[in-house]
Amino acid sequence: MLGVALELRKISKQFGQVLANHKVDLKVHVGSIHAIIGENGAGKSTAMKILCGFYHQDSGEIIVKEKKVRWPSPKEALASGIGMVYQHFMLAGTHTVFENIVLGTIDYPWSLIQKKEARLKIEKLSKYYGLALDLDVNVEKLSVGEQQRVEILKLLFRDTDILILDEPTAVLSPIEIESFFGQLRNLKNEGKTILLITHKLKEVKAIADKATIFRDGKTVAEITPADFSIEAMAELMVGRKLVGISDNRNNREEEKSSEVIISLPDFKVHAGEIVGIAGVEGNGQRTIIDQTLKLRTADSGMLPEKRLEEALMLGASLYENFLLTKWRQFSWWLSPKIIMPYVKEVLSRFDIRPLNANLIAKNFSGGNQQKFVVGRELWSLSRDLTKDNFKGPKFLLACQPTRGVDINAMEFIHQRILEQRDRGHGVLLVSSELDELLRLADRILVLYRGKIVKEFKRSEFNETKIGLAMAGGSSS
Amino acid sequence: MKKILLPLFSTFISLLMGLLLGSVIAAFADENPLHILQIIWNSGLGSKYDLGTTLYYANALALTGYSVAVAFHAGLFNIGAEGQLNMATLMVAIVGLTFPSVSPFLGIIISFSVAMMAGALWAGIAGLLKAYRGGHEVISTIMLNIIASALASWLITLPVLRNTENQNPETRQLSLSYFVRGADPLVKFFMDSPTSSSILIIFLLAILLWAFLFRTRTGFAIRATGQNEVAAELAGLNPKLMKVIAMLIAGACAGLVAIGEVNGHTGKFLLGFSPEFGFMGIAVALLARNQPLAIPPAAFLFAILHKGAGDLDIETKNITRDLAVVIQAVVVLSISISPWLEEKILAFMVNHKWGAKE
Repeated sequence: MLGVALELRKISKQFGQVLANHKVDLKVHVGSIHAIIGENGAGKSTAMKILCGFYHQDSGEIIVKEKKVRWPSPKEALASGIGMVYQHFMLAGTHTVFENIVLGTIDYPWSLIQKKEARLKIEKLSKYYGLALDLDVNVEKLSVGEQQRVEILKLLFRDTDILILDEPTAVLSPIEIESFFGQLRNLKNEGKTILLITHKLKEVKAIADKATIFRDGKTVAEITPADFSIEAMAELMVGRKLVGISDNRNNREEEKSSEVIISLPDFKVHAGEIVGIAGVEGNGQRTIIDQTLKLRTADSGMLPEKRLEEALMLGASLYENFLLTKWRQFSWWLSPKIIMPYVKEVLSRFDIRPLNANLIAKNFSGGNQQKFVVGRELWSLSRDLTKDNFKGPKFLLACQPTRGVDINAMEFIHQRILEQRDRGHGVLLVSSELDELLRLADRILVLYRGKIVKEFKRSEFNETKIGLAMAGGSSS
Repeated sequence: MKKILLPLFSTFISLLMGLLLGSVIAAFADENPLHILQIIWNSGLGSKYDLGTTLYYANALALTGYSVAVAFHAGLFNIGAEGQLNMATLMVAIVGLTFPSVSPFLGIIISFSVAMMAGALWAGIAGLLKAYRGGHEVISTIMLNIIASALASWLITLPVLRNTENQNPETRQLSLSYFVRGADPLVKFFMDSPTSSSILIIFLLAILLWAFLFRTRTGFAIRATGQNEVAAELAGLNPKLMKVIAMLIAGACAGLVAIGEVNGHTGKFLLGFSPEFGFMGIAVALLARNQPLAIPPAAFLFAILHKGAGDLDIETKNITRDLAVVIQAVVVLSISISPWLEEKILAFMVNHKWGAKE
């Protein structure tokens, strides 16, 4: 193995009352793919943002290429060869690929010579690393996978040799992930160092040389994924033994109810059934969601696809976010004395940390935000003697319910969705994660170019066939 | 406790910065800063009469402050309080002149209704345009301000309204059914200064608006609209309607300036009676961070500065009333750093284990 590319020594960082990083240690070797794994809120992103100059550590030191550094801003980090691709891409949609890549690097925008040189360099880079792209297309017309390539080329163009990728596969289809891994291996073989922030352990095992595990703001272990099973890694990450998801599906396969919960133009959702919608994003999911929203009754819940934009008020407290979809269940006078106990009930039942309903939503990690949204949607004031407020709505629309959340939260949310079905409620699950659909759905409808092209019953589930249908291939 | 003390402290710091910079400017102008502060203090609070005048300003500033704050909670920037209060005052004068012989009791009720309705309608236009046609409220309220003042200049030239006794751009005097200043005990107490019992409205409104915004469904819906319109709509709220309602309430608040002016002070509409109360209201709302309960003290503070400013012209050689505007502006600017300041203080407290119990 070659030398050490970078090192973090006892990095600590505090936000308000939250200790995001506590004495984080990290050592990454040149020319390796190093995975940074941990649950949401474990401090991975904070450590990486400190590394690329976005935040500043309260204490501890960063050593890059055997020199102690401290960057005033990401610009200086970039100049010394460290760049990050954020989970939410930073691209100007109405500009071309070329313009996005060179943005901010050409001193004189009118200089044709500079532009020509830049173009040559980009073409060379994209050929060299196998990142094929049409440079003159507007970025908004590209698929998510292609946009990711633009982001990576952006870094390569700036001569970055340490690339930090934040949850890069979260938005890719199974086929795109394969080709993306191919690109990563190319980069690695050419001597680039890659830091991969992720929580998908299957991928860590498939591609990473080393992995550092974060838990509760600390680094708990550095491992070689090849020597570890996925379960062992998961336990290190969570800090306790994981209990497998219990599912009594097989017993109830055939006893499907005929009661229709919601009837959409193209299909119906029955009681006690999870209908999965598969398909690469942008193939008509939006239409189905909109149709569902129009037809839903009062007794329904929704986990929107973009929790930040559609499910939460980031600047408001969890108390108020709770009211956002639950105001109907209280009188017109909203008394905190009456409502607050219910919010606390959601927080403790769904293990949302920190357990403080007065904190604003922005201060919670993605996983905790999503758990809160799930908890809120499943909550309804019980009108009977059982006093169980978590019976869940008759119909639940779940769009990408586990996007960007960690294993623990994912297990938890999956369990809740299965519970919904077992109670005889209907669930419509829209997801781009095939694993999730295979695990939860009773049947899967595959969308391609706005149409349902194929339906699979549980007994017919087959990853390859469904993947093929998602890509528009006709399988017999 | 932390939730209240911390913003209070950082607001105090902002105020201090304003006064400090004002003092530095005064020193550059060869005036003794302490002397300047003393002039402002005496002018704002020095006598019962001065205090009364300050309260008269505070009344109008609090009402326009409410107007801006309520709209802000719905995510709207209401620059139109000036137009709304002008329209309301004009309408109260017109209605009062049209029905001069009613009982004083009815006169007051009519005045309140007309003032609130006129302000609400004027603001409602901007609300409707924003909610259903996407017209930006900043542009439309500015336009409505201009329309209101132009309309007022024209209307008061009509023979039915014009005051024929002098050359002032104003309407005739309203009957004593509306102009109830003579019977107001507060006027006597404050030595016949411009203030009147209408000042009590602002305390009542502070509580009403707080309860409305933070304790009722509609208030919650308005704030949810301001926080995240998309999420509010998905949650089954009606953001468009909430924007209109917020603007109606905002306009009604600004419209209430008419009560203090027509019923409590002059008994007529005088063109340009407002020294841009509507715009100062924006600063007041900022200082109070759009919290209804904080608006009366914020308005009182700005009223002292405004009142004191007048005497700077007379009592100093080198400084004009503009110094008070500079102080107000610096205070508002400093407010913008207070979230940062509060975060630092909080981090410091955590590091030093202060107030560990939440």
